[in-house]
Amino acid sequence: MEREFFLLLATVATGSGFLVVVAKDPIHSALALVACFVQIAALFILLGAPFLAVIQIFVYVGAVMVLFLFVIMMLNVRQEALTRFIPSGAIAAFVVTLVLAVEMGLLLSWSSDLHQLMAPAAEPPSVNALSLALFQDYLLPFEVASVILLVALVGAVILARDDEKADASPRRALHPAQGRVPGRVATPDTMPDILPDNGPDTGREPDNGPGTSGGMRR
Amino acid sequence: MDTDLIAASVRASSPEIIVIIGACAALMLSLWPHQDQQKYLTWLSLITILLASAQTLQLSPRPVNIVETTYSGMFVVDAFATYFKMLLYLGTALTILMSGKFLQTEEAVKGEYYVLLLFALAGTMIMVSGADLLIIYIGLELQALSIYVLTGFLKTRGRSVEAALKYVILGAFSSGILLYGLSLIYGLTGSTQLGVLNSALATADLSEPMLILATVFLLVGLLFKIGAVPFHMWVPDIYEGAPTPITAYLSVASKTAAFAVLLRVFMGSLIGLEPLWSSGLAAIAVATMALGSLVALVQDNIKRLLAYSSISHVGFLLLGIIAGTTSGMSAILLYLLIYTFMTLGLFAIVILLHRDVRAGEPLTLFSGLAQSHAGLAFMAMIFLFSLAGIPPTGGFFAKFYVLVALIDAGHVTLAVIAVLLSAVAAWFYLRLIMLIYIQPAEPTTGSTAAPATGPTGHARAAILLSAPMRLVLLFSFSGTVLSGIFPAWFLAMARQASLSGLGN
Amino acid sequence: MDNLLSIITFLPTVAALVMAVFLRGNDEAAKKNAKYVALFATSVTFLLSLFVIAQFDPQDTGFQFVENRSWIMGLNYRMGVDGISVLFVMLTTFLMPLVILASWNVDKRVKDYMIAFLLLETLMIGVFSALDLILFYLFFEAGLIPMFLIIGIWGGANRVYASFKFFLYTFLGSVLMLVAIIAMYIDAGTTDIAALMNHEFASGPLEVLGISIGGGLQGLLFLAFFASFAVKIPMWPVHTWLPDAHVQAPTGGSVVLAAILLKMGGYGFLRFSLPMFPVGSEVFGPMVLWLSAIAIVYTSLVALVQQDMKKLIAYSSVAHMGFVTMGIFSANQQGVDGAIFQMISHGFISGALFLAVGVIYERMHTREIEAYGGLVNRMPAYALVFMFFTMANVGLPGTSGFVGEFLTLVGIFQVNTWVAMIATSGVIFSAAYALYLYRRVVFGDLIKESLKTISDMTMRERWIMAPLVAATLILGIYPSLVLDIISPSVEALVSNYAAAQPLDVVAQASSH
Repeated sequence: MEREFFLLLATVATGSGFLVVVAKDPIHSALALVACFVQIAALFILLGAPFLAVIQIFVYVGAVMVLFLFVIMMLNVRQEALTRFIPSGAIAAFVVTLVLAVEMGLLLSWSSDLHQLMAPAAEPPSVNALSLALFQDYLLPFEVASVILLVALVGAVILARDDEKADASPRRALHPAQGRVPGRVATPDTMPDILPDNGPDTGREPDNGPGTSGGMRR
Repeated sequence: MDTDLIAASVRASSPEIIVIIGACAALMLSLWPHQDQQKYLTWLSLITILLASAQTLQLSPRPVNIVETTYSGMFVVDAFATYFKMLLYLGTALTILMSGKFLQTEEAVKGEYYVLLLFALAGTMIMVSGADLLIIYIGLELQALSIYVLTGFLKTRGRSVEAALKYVILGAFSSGILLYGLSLIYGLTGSTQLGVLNSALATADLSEPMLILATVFLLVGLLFKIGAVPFHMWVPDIYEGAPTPITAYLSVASKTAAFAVLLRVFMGSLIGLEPLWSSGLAAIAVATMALGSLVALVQDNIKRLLAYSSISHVGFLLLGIIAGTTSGMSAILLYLLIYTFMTLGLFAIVILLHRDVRAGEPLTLFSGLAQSHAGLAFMAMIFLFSLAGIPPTGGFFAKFYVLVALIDAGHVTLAVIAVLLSAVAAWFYLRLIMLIYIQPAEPTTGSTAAPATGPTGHARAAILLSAPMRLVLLFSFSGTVLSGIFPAWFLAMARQASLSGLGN
Repeated sequence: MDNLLSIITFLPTVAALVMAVFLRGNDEAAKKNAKYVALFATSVTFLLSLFVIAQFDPQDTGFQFVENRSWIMGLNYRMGVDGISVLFVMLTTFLMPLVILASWNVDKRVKDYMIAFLLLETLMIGVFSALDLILFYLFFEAGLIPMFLIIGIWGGANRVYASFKFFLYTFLGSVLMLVAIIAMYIDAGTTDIAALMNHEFASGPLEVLGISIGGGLQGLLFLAFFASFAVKIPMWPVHTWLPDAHVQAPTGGSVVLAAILLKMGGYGFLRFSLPMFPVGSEVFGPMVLWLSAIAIVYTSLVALVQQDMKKLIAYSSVAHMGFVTMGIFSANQQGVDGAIFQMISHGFISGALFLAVGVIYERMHTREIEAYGGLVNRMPAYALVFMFFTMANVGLPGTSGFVGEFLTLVGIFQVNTWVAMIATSGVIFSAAYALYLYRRVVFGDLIKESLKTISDMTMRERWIMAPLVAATLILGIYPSLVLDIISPSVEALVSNYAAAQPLDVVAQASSH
């Protein structure tokens, strides 16, 4: 039974992974990636690592991918995505693929040795143990890391935000900016170079077609 | 961990928590548009720092040799950490006070500036209280991340952005090296806790290549942060490009925290490995002093000059570590305190003289200051003499105690080299004093510095001393002078902190 | 008044602070006030110092007027004077009012000028009365700051160069002394000068970087102190900062420099080198003697060809200081007596000579010897005073210059005949350059157009010169006035010095 499930999940994962690459519309790619991640999460359950599976869903599907979609939809990167293909990149891609294939072959041929080297833990760590380690032994680093994330967020906002010029009042004109704060949070990490062209009125461009950012904002 | 332990941990880290809460409050306040927003933010930050310092003092161990460890051995509250935290409060508070005017001239008044400074403070506080390589690293990153952003805070200025980019790349590089060394240590000993490392490394085989590599990486990573030769390349560029108050912060608070870590790690836990690093560190110290002093001679930008000056001071500070004794450590602690006073004082004056980032900060900014602003000129002179280490200013005693420790430990040759190099360093401080007192003010020499047009062009017409600036000058000046006349008060604090500090 | 010395030391500082805080404005009235406050403060300081000399007991060779307060960890604020130092304190307090008077015509930033001089006075008195090594170093080193500014701000055309040279030369010398001071502190566990005099520093052979240092630790310490004091006094070949500094300094600065600051070097030798490192001094003494001999002859010859009056007097100062170092390191009663006497008398004479140059500089704004000639025709009083001090500088019997030179020569003659002979020839050279200068400036016909309207000394200038003339004369005629005060202390110093020598060194020394 396990083997059948594995084959099923692995096939869907590979297929959706393939779809990520070949899909023309970046949104389709992203959705395919979500599917792929879900499959992998299911594989983790099969391997007896339920916590990892949950994390996989939480972090990758829940957070990372949603942000991806956010950015893609809001910043209208579809056009750029379509024209991004670089012909001369084929050779490089081929080389990388070859290297990866060789690596995989080697790993497969050594798999018995590796298995010995990394003997499976007597008992897979439970969620309980993991949470204890995280919230007891490493409580402080955990908390401070969250502060670091906050700082990164604030920093990203500062660096990415357009400064209001024009009016000479020393006060910051806050009201028009309020609406776009959440969208801007994610931008610097991914596509900082697009920002200047796409100022605050991205969503209001009429020729974006239906279903674009306007709806996502709220 | 039961609730008692958690409560104790929270209590021990309450100053950090206060600062972080203050930072969050400032973040919210910064979204509230108001005419006096900057003023409120300044006050909020200062009150936060005051509260934190009160809490730190209240937590300070009595008697001083008690070491309270919390968060499963990751976080300590001892006299050493308390001393350094007070030093960091001082440095950060003065930086905040001197920022107001600068941000106004630069038209970059933004609330996030204060938020990030407070976060940086929290990071440095965690660094000095960390008793585990991991938490030290995380504190360092918190601090570094805040400073990266602050360095590039003047987004419209090319230099500021360039400096930020350089700092991010080099900072990440050095953090990587540090992390690598840290992981090697973990691999060798199975722990990252400083107390455990101490005993684990006591019997270590010093010829083990991995151990040597780990020590070297740790040392290099930290030397990078304090800007010692040959890892100093970033210092001048970033000091020059960053907003001036941030430069001041970088050269004082960041360095102080990094030194705290260096002391705690190398004089506490890795003291057993001293044969591995002491001779190398001696060479680095001499090279740092020499390069800092010699290259500073040819600088024509104040901030670059101060960057090299801070490099040479770092070299001198490293000598205290080489001495390796408690008196060496207390000498470093005292030095850092006095260094904070005199450097921040001088930076405050640089900010007062600052007109426009486009004009840069040429040395000629100082020329003729004595004629137009005798009081400021006198203070600048005292700060400069102090930096040069000439009695009766605090800078002399800072160097004096390092030398005492060094000679006491038998490193007479190093001491002789150090004093000779400090005589070289005196040269460029004197150059500035000469500019202040002898050179006529710019307009008569022909304006090499800036176009003398517009309302800001007439340099000396009016330097308005705002109340915060007065406060900064008052603090730094009285600190510099008092530490020169009554060094005992200051030394006693430093000595207590260092005696108790590294009980592990 | 058991803290009389501190009062004397810090009174000028208090006056300077008062001036800095309460004197505002830059008008004529403020300038005048600054001058009067400075004059008043220095005069009161002088009057107070008279109490010191009046109550001073020459027979007591220990320190008197001792003050002792704990100040910083392990270090104390200790002040006191003995027979060696008390006269230097007197010299300082005596000269300062005259210097202030001589600066009456300064017009540039008068307040700052006066403050600088007042602070300098504090630091100079402090150097001579500090009884703690660290305290001494603080005063010694801090004295650089006001002098640096005096040369740098109120100096001549090339003042920046001169002030830098002055500062860096002396700073470089004294940082080595700092290292030695710390080493002494660690070795002896105290910085009390009186205690250190009784502490015996190791003098066994010591190898440093493969070179064997005679006198061991004492030798090293001696060399470190020597580096500082030799620059300060200054000795050949590290004297080159002095002519520059003198030429560029304003008149008041030159006077203080020549009359008092240089004496710190000689005082340092007497206070530290001889009593604390007797073995080191004995080992390196001959070297110092020869350097002194070279200095006397060489700088006298250099003085002969100078075109600038101040430079000439500066070189003559170096030569005279050669006599001082020679006398000190002959390490016998006459030599050391002579050295101290020479320093005191040189304080009056060189001070007066610089003042004399200042008098005509103020009128003509040049120090070129070529620009003068025949001054006697229009300035008889000036010619007389200048003649008097020229003769005193040469060492004419009847002036104080003679006593000092004679005693040092007697002292050195007992130790090293060759050096004595060379030094004696230096006396002849000094007569040559001094008289040559006098002839070119004062004698001859008054042919230069610009000098036709020059006026004689004003009343103020006469009043400045009068005390100096009197002092030079009195000491020349009645040297016991000084010698009675210094002799007991010097005797103690010399006998301790001899007693501290290991036997073989003594034998060696006597076989010379």
